[in-house]
Amino acid sequence: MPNIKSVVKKKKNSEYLEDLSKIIPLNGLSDKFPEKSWETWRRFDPSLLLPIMLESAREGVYKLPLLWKEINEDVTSCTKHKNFCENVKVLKEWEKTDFKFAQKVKDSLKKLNYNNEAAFFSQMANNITPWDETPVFRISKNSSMENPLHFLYAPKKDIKYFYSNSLIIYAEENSSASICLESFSEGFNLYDTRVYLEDNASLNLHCLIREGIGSNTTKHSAWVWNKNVYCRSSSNFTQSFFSAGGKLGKMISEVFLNDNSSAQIYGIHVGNHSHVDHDFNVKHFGSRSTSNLEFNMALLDNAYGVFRGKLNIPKDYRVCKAEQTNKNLLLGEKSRADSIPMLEVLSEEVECSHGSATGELSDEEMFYLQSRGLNETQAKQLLLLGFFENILQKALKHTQDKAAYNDPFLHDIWCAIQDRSHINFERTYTMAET
Amino acid sequence: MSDKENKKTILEISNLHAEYINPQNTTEKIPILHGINISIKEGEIHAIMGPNGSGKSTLSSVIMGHPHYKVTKGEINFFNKNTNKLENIVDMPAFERARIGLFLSFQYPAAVPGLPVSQFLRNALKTLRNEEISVKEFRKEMNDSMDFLKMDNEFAKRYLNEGFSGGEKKRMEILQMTLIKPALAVLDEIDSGLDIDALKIVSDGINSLIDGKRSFLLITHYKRLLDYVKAENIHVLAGGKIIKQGGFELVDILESKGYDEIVKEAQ
Amino acid sequence: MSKDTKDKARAIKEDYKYGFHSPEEFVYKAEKGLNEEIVRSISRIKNEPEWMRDYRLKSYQTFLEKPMPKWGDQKMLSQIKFENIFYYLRPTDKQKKDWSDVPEYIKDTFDKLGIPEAEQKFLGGVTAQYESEVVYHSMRDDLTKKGILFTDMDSGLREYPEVVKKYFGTIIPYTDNKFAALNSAVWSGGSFIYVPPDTQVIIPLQAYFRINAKNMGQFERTLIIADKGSSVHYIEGCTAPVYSSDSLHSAVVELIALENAKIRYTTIQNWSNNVFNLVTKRAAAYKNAKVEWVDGNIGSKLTMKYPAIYLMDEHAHGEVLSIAYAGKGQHQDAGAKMVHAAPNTTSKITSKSISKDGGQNTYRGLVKITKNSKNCKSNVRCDALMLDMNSRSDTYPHMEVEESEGVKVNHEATVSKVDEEMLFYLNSRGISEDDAVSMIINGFIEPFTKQLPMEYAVELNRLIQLEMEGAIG
Repeated sequence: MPNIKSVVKKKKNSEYLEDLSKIIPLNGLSDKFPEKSWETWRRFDPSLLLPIMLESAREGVYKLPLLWKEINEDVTSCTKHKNFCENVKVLKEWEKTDFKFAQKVKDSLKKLNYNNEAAFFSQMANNITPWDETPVFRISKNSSMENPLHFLYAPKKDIKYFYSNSLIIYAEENSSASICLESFSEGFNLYDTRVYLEDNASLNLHCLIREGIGSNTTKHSAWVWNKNVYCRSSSNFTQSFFSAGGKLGKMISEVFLNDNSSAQIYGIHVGNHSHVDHDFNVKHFGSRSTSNLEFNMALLDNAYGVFRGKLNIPKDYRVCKAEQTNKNLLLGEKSRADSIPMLEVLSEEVECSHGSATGELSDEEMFYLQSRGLNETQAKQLLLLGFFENILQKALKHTQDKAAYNDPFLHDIWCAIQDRSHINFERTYTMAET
Repeated sequence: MSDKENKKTILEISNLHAEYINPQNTTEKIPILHGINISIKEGEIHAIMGPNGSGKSTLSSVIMGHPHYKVTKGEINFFNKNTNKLENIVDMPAFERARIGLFLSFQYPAAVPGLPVSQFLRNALKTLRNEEISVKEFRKEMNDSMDFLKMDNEFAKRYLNEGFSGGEKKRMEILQMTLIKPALAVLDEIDSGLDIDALKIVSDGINSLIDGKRSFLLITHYKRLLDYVKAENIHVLAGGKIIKQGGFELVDILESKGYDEIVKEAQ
Repeated sequence: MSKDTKDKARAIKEDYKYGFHSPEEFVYKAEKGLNEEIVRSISRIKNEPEWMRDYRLKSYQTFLEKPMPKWGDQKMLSQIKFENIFYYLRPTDKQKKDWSDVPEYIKDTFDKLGIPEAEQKFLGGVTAQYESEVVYHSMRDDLTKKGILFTDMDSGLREYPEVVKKYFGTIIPYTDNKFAALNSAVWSGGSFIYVPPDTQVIIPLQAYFRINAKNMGQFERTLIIADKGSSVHYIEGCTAPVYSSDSLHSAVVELIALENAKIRYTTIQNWSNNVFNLVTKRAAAYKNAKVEWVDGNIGSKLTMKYPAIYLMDEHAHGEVLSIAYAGKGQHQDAGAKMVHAAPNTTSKITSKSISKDGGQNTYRGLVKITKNSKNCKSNVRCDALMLDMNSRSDTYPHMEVEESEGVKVNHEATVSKVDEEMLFYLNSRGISEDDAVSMIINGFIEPFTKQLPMEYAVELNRLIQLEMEGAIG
């Protein structure tokens, strides 16, 4: 697959700047965060990303190769996998080999439309990677992939590029699969992931972002991850999302539910010198659809985290169940959190609830642990574990292979949860600073 | 025992089949009761015993008319104190059933935040007795009953079942029963989660109503409630059917053999 | 609920008992619509100082410049016809201190609303506003002797110009939003209250607002200052006749609670369904002060109101307790804002809403903990009850936390229908379905009603009962 693996497009700086200025509204920058209007409250202003985008684009615009990764494999040895190659082709190739399928994919794209900021970013992604050249991951009818598939977006180390990574995952009827997308890219990264589940399909999608961690570009890297999921009847979608690193980040996750379908979304964010904005949008366009959204943020130093969750149940869809929970831990002196859990309910027979809590580690709990002989750091470690445990348990139970998470941070947390003893907290705590 | 035949029938359940309808998905129906026959006469105390999942709680819910259960076959005939007739109550709404003399003590009573106990009780008594009750009169009656059940009078000011402990909820149910004085009280696992002292108090509450006219249907797992409240008729429920009926001696047999054995024997 | 109940639950609001109106009489009525000359003439008639006239004119300019809100119920907002409104109507020449001096037709109105009766029974002072002016005002002598100032806003400006000039528009500047600018330009009536240090006003003071004329705009302005260590409870009630065309009510309310002071501001808003109720309410609470907004929104066509409390000094406490009822054709877009601008401040927001017959409720809330406001605690609870399929309930809470040390911000919200298990439990005790529903609803709003003075709680329960009677048939 040449077009996945190699550089697709490299434009001259001047050309790209022109492109960008077409997409990004450069005017109205002074109007950032207009405080008085509820509507625009704390909207993530894309123009914040501009400096990093431009700087990265100046170095070059690339599409990142998507690499197959064996479990516990070293990053450097990631290769193409045979089965994987059979299942992933760019849309153009699919048209040649399986025209019918390509047609289905094209049809599904009509349903995976974005609005607002997401549309803005997806247009940008589309400018770089047109639909024809977008890789499509096919999970065939009635197939069931027992082991999770792990993919990696791995860039060149310590060089900042503008990367655009688009992917379509298409799960056919009665299929089930578990996919992990891992990224530790640098520079500016634009991900556009679209997921379409046919009737009765089931998909676990795990996304890991470790933007620039362990390199010296963290403070100058940024990412945007657009995710749009369409669930047909009786399908089941589980997403877990872990993000850390980067200076600026924006996550948009839209899930569209039909009759009897369900979605579980679990997320953890660890922020450190970063401003990351998370947008979750769950639309219950089907009766008896259920959704559960749990998202926790731990914000260190001067990290700024935003959670914006929206549950929408239109009229005439009955017996829906929707929940969202957001908990934020402020650990740094200058950290801040915004939490905006929204409900829009136009139907009567629903059970909807949301909860949000923001605070620091409890003094009483710290004292209790210290009275049992733990020092402050150890006590903090344990409490932080507790803060994430619930979500990790739920998120990881969907994949059989816990160790698939090669992320040092998650791995440590996971190990610690398993044996309740050891976690390299110092590393966790300072990982993005190097 | 000769006057037994002269006594009128209070509850006559015949060939009762019922299913549970999942409120989340009304097309999902689970049949639970498969032909129950029970007959209770005036002044009798019956007990239904059975293992977990045998349909005990379903039976009590169906008798009271819970909207999540549907009677698919058979009849529940109940003696209507207003018309002096035995009537099939299967299609009667729950509040009508209460008004003709039926009472259910819930295993898990719902909490109603913001609704004070006293206000609730006074309203309930007014409709059930079909007469005005003065605040003073009502307060005295309620406080007497509370004292008898060793409940703090502060209970009256609390919101109905909200934040009540398990034991408090059970006493609340018995308090309602002693005030309502129903013709037939169905007590669903009134003994679960009670310590010895509380069990004694609850049993006293039940026994205080026994007058040879009122009837009781106790639903329980264990013998211990029956040590305090003497039931003459025991029904063993398993798999949605009454598999054995008998007198009090059945309790001891159950206690020594266990449900498994009895179920096997019945098969 | 059974289908039967829902079928019965059709018409509501049809017996809005305050929907009557009296013949329109006035001594001065400005022409329809708004222009600079009308603003000038209001100021002239009121014989105001120059600074107030200039303030009005500046505000009028701002009103013209500011856009309509781009959020909220755009469909309803677009129905406001500013050019169809009468901005000033003076019903009588003089304000009276005795009900028998008030013109008969106005007195009749207030009699029907039960104001004189309530005044005798349990109020410390009353102002009654009819259209643009306060027509009756009186306060108990013992309160006057304590040095408490309670007048209508116009008299306040005349009699205590320094105090008014010092505080007027400091909490809500005319530039705040379009409707605050409108109010600042054409305000008339409202209350001015000053409570001297260490003075407690135990019995509530009340203002009653009545719109009578068609297409009327009412723009009262209220300023309450509670000096150090004082306390006051102020209640406002609002009603209007039912007309086929819309009226506009746009008030500005500013509260200032100085050190250790306590203000409770209770609103029972029961406008008829043709009134746009677009109100800006904000309070500043200083050291150890406590401010509570108790906000009941039963009536109106569209309400947009988010009572705010700025906690300016340490240990200030703010509370907003609100219920909203939205029936057919109504949209209650209400909520609360809490800004913790100092350490050790605490706040609590409780919101309950009931939607029925296609009514729409929206909760919009903000809790903001500014940088360096350590040890702040805030608790938000929103519960919404949906009584049928056609209704709608939206919740848009915003939590912004910029400080971490000792900060706890909690938010919980639920949207549900009447719980079936509760209903069955009450049914099983002989209580009919309709009675059970209304008992559950009364329980649902109990946290609100228990904060009202006895007489009001009874009235409110009756009101809700009346609203629910539509459901009961």
